[in-house]
Amino acid sequence: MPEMSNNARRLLGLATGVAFGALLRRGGLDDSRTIVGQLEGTDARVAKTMGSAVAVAALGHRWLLSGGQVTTEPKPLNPVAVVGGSLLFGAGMALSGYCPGTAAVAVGSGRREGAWAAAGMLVAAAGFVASYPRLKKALETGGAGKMVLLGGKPPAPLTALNVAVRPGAQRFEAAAAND
Amino acid sequence: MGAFVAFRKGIGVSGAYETGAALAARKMAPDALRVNDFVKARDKAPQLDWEVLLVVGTVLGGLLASRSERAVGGAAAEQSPALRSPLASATGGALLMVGARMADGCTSGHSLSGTAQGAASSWVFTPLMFLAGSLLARAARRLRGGL
Repeated sequence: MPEMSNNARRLLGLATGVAFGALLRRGGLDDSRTIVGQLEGTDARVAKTMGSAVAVAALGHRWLLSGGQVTTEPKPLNPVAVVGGSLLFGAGMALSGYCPGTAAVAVGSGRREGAWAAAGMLVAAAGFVASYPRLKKALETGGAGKMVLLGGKPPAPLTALNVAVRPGAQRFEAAAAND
Repeated sequence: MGAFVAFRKGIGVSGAYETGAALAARKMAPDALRVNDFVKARDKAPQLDWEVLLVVGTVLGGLLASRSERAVGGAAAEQSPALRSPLASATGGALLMVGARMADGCTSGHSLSGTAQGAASSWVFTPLMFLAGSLLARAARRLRGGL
């Protein structure tokens, strides 16, 4: 695929954002109660939405990967950073009922809570910018690099689905297995 | 819902907050926030890239969707009363942003795009994040005298 110009990327980013935001709003995720309900176990919408999104994305990514249109870009597995970060993130999500994406949607749909959460995020991001040079080494302690599970192959049910949806995939799976 | 995620290289939201903050800091207080050291450590200058515009688009998407719902008089247009104090919202937001930047990803970068690509780091991040959040949310509910 030819490299896109920066402006084309920006435009595509903007368009993707509009769709992302509108869909999150349709899913009720601009309301802090939706995420808190999921965490309390009284509302399964987040799990359902994310589960289907991941399944479709995994399939689509796999598909595009076989055609060479995309690459796999796993984030590095730095144990200190990923474990520490996920615990802080979960705590913050329970407290605010938002994540960075849903807070942006809530700002758009005019929810004051979301604006407060987004303001907190920006302040913290600035703080992180200021402290990152000193934190960098600690965060990268014991880093295992960019790792993918199962050698980047999707689990069996997904492969079956992939083959069902796109018969040509079988050849690719076979070729990948021979590597 | 997920189809659009599939056709991007993988989207991320929290990085844009960092970029936005770095851009603003460079304009307003480059010395106080040591922006130059940050750029050196990240090995990349902050710029108005597609990820920032993704977040701008997300705000717009929320705006347009809520406007259109109001226009057709949908039930979803009702506004909930504030359930949390501004302090709780802002503190929670700050906490999770630090976590996201530490782990180099948030719900979209790790839990959506990362897990879909089979990234090991994302499969560690996502369950731990939900575990921590669930324990805390349930504890808070008990404290409030709920179930």
